[in-house]
Parts: sequence; C-alpha cells; structure tokens
Amino acid sequence: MAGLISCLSLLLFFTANAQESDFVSIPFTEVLEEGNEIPGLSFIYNAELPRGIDGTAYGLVFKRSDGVWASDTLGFYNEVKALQDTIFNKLQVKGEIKKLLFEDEISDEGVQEYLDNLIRNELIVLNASGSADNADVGELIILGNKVPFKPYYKLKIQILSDIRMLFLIGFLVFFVFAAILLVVAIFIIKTQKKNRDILVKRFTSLSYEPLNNLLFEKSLDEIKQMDQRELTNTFPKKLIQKSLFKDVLIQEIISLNKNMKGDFKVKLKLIYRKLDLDKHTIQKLSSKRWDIVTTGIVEINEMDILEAEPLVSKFINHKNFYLRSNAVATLLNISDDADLKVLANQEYPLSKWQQMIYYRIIRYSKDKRNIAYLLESKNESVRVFGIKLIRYLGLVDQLEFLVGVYPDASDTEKIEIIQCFDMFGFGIGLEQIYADLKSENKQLVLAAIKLIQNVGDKFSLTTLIELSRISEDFDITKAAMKGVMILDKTVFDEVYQDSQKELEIKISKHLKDPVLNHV
Amino acid sequence: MKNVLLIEDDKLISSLVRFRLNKDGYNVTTVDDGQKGMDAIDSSSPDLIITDVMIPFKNGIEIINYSKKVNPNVPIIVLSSLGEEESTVMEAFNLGASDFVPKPFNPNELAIRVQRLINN
Repeated sequence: MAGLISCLSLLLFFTANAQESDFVSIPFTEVLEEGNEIPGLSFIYNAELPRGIDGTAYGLVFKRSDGVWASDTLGFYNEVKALQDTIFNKLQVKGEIKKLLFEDEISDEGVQEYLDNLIRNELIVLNASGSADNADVGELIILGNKVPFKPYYKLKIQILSDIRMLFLIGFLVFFVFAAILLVVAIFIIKTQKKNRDILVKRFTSLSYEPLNNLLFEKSLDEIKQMDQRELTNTFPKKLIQKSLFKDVLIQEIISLNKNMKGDFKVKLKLIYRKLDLDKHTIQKLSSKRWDIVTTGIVEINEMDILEAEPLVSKFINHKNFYLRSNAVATLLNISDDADLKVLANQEYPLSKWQQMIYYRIIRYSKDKRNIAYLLESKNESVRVFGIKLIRYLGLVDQLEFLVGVYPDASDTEKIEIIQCFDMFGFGIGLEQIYADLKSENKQLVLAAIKLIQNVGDKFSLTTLIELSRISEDFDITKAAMKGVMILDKTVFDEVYQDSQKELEIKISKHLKDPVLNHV
Repeated sequence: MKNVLLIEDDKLISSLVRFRLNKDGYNVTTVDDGQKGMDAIDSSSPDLIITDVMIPFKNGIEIINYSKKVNPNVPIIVLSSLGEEESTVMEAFNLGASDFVPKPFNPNELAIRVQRLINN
C-alpha cells in the first residue's frame, strides 16, 4: 500500500513538473500593449524638454531634483506610450518610460519575471484580443477568458478545481478513514479477547470445585450410576450450556487426564462422556476454521473418542500441515490400523517433526504394528520412514525384504537401508552395495563405505583400495582408506606405505595418528 | 493441624492436591512460583513441602536447597514429569528430597505418602 502511495505521489509530482515545464513565457511588451492592467505594475514617463517648452501642457510636472519633466504614475502602459508618442510627434523628444513595481523602479527583466509568475500561478486573466495570432498562448487566453476570474485567496475553490489535488485529498481521506477503521477494529478485537480471557479465568475457577467433588467424593461406580441430568447439576446450571464453558471444562479434563493415573483417568473420561462433551468436540470438526478443527481432533485423541475415527480420517490428507499431522497422529492412536495404512496412504511428504511424533506413537503403542505397507507406499518419505522404523524398533525380520527392494530404491532410501544394515551388522546382498560405490551421490557412497568397512570381507578390501585409487574426492578417498585400515591394518600398510601420491601419504599419516584419527 | 506447602504452577493440579489433602485434615498453602515458595517457607513454617521441579523464577532444586538450609527436618516431596532428566531426580535426592512422585500421579497415592512422611 505504501508503495502504491509513493508511486502515485511521484506520478503527481512529475505530472505537475511536466505541466510546469510546458509553460510559455509571453513577452511583457505584448501583454502591456494589449491594454492589460497588471496588478502592482505602474509607469512614469520622463523627458528632458527643450528650453521654453512648458510640459504642463502635456500633463507633465517638472522635477527640479532630476531636471526632467515627469508624468503622473499611470496604471496602463498604453496611456504612457500614447503620451510618449504625442511628445515625440510634436517635439521630437523620445523620453523614457520607467516601470514601477509597487512604486519601486524595476528593470525590463524584472517586469518579465513578475508577469511570468502572475500568469503561471493564474493570478491574472489576460485580454484575448490581439493575441489570437499567437498559436501557443492564444487558445489558453481564450479559454482563460471563458473562466471567470478566481482570486488566489479563494483557496478552497482553487484546490477543488485541480484534479490532482482532488486525488490527493481523496487518498488522504481514504487512509485516515482506513486508519480509524483499523483502530476501531483492533479495539473491538482486544476488548473481545480481554472479555474472553476474563470469562475463561472465571469458568476455570468455577469448574475446579465440581470436578474435585466428583473425583474425590464419588466413586467410579457412583459416577457410572449418575444420569446426565444429575451430573450436569453438579456444575453451574446456566453455564454448562455455554460453548465457552464446555471448552474450558474440556481443557481442564484433558489437563487432569494427562497428569492423573489410575481410577481418576477412568472417572475423567466418564464425566466427559456423560456431560456430552464428546458431542461438543465432534461438532468442532464441522467448523470452517482449521484451528478449531485441529482442537477438536486433539481432544478426540486425548479422550479416545473411537467413534469419531471416520470423521477424523477425512483430514489425513488435508492441505493444512497441522490439521493433517494431528489427524494422522489421532488415527494412529485411536484406530486399530495395525497395518499403518493411514500413514502408507499419505500424499504429502513427511517432515522430520511428523516422523518424530508418529514414531513416538508407534513406539509406545500397545498393539503390534505391521510396517510392510509403509515400505510399499507410493510416497517416498513414507517408505524412508518405514525403513527408519525397522532400525529404531529393531525389526530384524524385515532386513531380507530390504535386500529385495534395494536395487529399485531411491538414493535416500538406499542410504536409510544401508544405515539399517550397518546398525544390525547385516552383510547379505553386499554386491548390490558395491555397485553404488560408483554413484554420483556422495552421501550414498560414504554410507556404503561405512557399511562395507563394518561388515565387509576380502573382496571388500580390494573394492575399497580400488575406490581410494580412482576417486578424486577427498572425503571418499579418506573414507575408503579408513575402511581398508579397519578391515585389515596389515593390508593397509602394505598398500599405502610406499605410496607416491601426496594425498594418500597425508591421509595415511592422519589415520595412523592416535590423536587425529577420529577427526 | 499440620501445614503443607504446595509449590505448583499448574493451578488445576494445585487445586486438586489441596482439595485431596484438605480432606485428610491438612492445612494446605499453595503458591505458583519458586520465589513465592521460598517466602512461604519462611512465613508459614510448613511441616511438609510438595514442589514441582519446573516452576517459574526458582526451580524445585533451588527450593529443596533453600528449605534444607532453613529447616533441614522438613520432608520434601518432589512432583515432576516422568520424562524429567535422571540427573535432576538424583540431584533432588542428594539435596535431601524425601520422595519423588512422577506425573501422571494418583492423588490418593500422594496423600498416603504425605501422611507417612508427616507421621515419621
């Protein structure tokens, strides 16, 4: 918005400048001879008349100080010019016309500048007659004559007649109005939020006592036997129907549910259900606001509302990251999806944060989960997550399967598979991994070298030596040499002891140094 | 009537524990941060202190340290999350904490531990 204003201001500025540069100066003699009266400008005729000639006959007064005959101060140039011509015709005396600006004598250049200023600022309207021949200014003068003279002091009218000023005033009014609107909106929102916070505090304190009474004064069986009306009556009657009070109560129950164990957990879930708070939670899934839907999903997760599973599954591929993540986490918790299909069917890539959350749920889940579907997912990040799960959960029975999928796997998957093999010291299918030592993906090559050095055999030694000789990459050469050293130190010494290559000599020294070999 | 000082920033937990201990006849003073907890140790002369580890201004370890300097005989129960660092729990015990109750906890169990420590 600020950019737009700047652009418009610049546009206005340049338009104004451009118009100013279009101004055409009119010679002041032309203007004066047309009989125009110029405010503030007057004239005096001075002449030295021959001896014996009485200037008073021409309306002149003799000025002893200057020794010249001078006319009165005249407002019109034509008058003084006519006087000059008359005297010249009769006495052959040219004389001099002096120009006065507010009674001070002024040069011709001064008169021209003064006149230009008046015309430029539209402070005078010139007579059109006689100037029509002048193509540049004639039309302007004619147009000017059609417009009644508007003096400068009527500033208000002057401003409103200028389209640029109208635009500027329009913009200013708009922004002032917008600013006022914004301040009012902020004030309303802040007041609403403040009121809501006050209500939440009040409702929270009002919910403590009934909840404590139910948890400590009533046994589980007693709560089971209470009907909904009886249970509702333990809370303030007017408030229990209010949506905000229900929200507060749900939050308090969830908070207690997290911090309590034993019978208290069961009691809390029973109270939650009997107060129909589960219906209030499920209603949130119909909201158009994603944050409300997410809150509903989190509540379903915390309070194990199994019947909401079909409603939550609608959001597992939602474009909103938080909504999608919570929906998947909830389904992993509450559904009996042993094959983790909810994850396998994920359309969006899994972030590291999501993987951490899902891993935690799967790790602490009581049910056994089958990850085969994950490894067959169309989503690469899901397949990678599946391989990570094999590593983290120690699912060694899946290693054979990984050998089978390795040739067609992407580089990212291959790196994960190699790390998995490395973790379990799994050396079957190494020939496929040897092939990847020629890969252009450096991370893949380094991971492969690390695995080979840990589970390799004599053939691996030859392969690594060859790699260290042909590779031009320092890290790969160093990793390959390190691999050779770990596999067989004697062979390492034999191969690299008499090496002529400077790089091999340096790496060899580095690897043998007991202090530096881990760096 | 025995005085119990409860230092816990979660007001709901705090109200729940106070409610439960009141039922057993204890006079429970609750504060929601470590600084107020230290002030309450001076002013209310508690017979037992229950403190969370993660609380504002002064943490549970500092509370134990301070309490043991002021009155080494007052038993202290540390209430904290299950995922708390092992070193924190060990430090609490080394400083003289009498018991450790991990969250989530059963308020009835906590009440029994309070009773046992106060009677001893």
